[in-house]
Amino acid sequence: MGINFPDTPTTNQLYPQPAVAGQPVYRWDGEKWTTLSSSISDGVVRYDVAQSLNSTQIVQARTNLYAAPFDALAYNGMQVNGSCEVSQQYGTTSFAVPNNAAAYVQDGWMVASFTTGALRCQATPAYAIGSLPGYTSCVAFGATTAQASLGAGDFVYLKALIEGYRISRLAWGTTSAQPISIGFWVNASIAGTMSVSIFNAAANRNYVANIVINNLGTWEYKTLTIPGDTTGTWNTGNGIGLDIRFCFGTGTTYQGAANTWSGSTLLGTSSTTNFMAATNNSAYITGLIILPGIELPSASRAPFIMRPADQELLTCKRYYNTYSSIVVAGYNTTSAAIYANLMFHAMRAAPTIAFNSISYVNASGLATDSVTVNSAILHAIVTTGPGNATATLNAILDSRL
Amino acid sequence: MADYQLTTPDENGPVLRTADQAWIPADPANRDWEEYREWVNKGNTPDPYVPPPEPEPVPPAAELTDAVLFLHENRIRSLEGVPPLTLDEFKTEAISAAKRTKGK
Repeated sequence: MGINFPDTPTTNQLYPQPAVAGQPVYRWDGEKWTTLSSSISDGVVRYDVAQSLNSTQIVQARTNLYAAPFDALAYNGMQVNGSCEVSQQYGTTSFAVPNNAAAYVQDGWMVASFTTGALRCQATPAYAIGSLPGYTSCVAFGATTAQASLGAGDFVYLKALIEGYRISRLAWGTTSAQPISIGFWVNASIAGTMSVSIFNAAANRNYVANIVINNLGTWEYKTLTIPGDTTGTWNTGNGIGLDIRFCFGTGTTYQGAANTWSGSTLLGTSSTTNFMAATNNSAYITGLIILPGIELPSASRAPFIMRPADQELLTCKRYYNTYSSIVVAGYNTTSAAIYANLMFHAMRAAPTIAFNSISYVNASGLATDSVTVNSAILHAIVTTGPGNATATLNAILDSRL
Repeated sequence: MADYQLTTPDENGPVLRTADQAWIPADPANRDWEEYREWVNKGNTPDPYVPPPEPEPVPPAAELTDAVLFLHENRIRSLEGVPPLTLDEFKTEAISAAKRTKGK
């Protein structure tokens, strides 16, 4: 192919466009054509047009630029338990999703099914994946009783709540608001359009986007970038920062325009498919990544950005924690108290404390005296004294969003 | 029985959730507390605070010492495979031992 410059170029016009392998690119500077760069085959990385580099060239280009791969951004991921590996409450045991109430299905993930109709769902935490390289678990849910047509106010979704501290870097609610990019893997028993929506804590700022699931029964990697919200109130403390919902069906009340910020409470659009229209229909999600900025790793590299399970467990314990074989022991008179100080990993807020597997020796009436974000004082009452008494117990600490 | 019970005389203090006996701190950031406040705002009333039983007074030091010795003696007997003493038997033994010591 020969060079055939345009007769009447405009300033900064490039030729040829698109770039041609083996041929330089020229720019018209207003007077003459100057060589902008060498061709792809000359080994030059372009910043003004997309290039088709192979994996070796990508690695070399990154090395030359001192650019870190996406894998290095794992710590920046704002999601909690994105790989769905941590499940402290239910392990891998399925449970019926309560109707008209959102419930935690596993650490960091909630499921909600609201209907006045027949729809009933079952959720399975940390569901084992056998067909998605790089991931071991997902959150799963499906219809045990289907509802062919959802009522106007009905909906079903999974949601991830992100604490304000984790999103404060986005500066949402200000003119400096930064975009976020969300990536996740989804697999559904039917093809269709699901939706992803974002809310603030007060649910008076809202953005919704459509996500097309092309093939049934196939893991698909989905990505979207959402512009930062320059208005509204976005929590940057220990309350709910981001509320992200993955909707698999909603009635008309919660449908609206996609890809714009508003004060609505939209979960989907008129395109949103009812994925629970037939009994045993199901949906699975894993590999959630929420990064500041406009970039995400490719599907093949997405598993590398996930934090390892041991680190994720520590993060999850900020919200939910269990302790076993706690001993409250002491010597006191009848009806007097014996005490124990329980110290734990600092939690998001002072947790709700529940006990189980309580075993008493000359004691009764186990109770909590006070709780802070990282400690609690427990007591039991001596049955017959003066004498030794003990209470042995397991404790569940809950300060989830 | 209401869904919640006060755990202190302070009506704004921590509460017990009766369903699972979970103790909910009065922390506005705790979602269970928020749920409790919504429940109250709907016009519900928690069960009143029930004070714990009055503890028995601490016995005089001498009695405490006796009690410690009594428990200690029975622990040793337990280790030796000997049946434990009742409190009366222990007192009788102790008086006898004291007399024996005094006689020496």
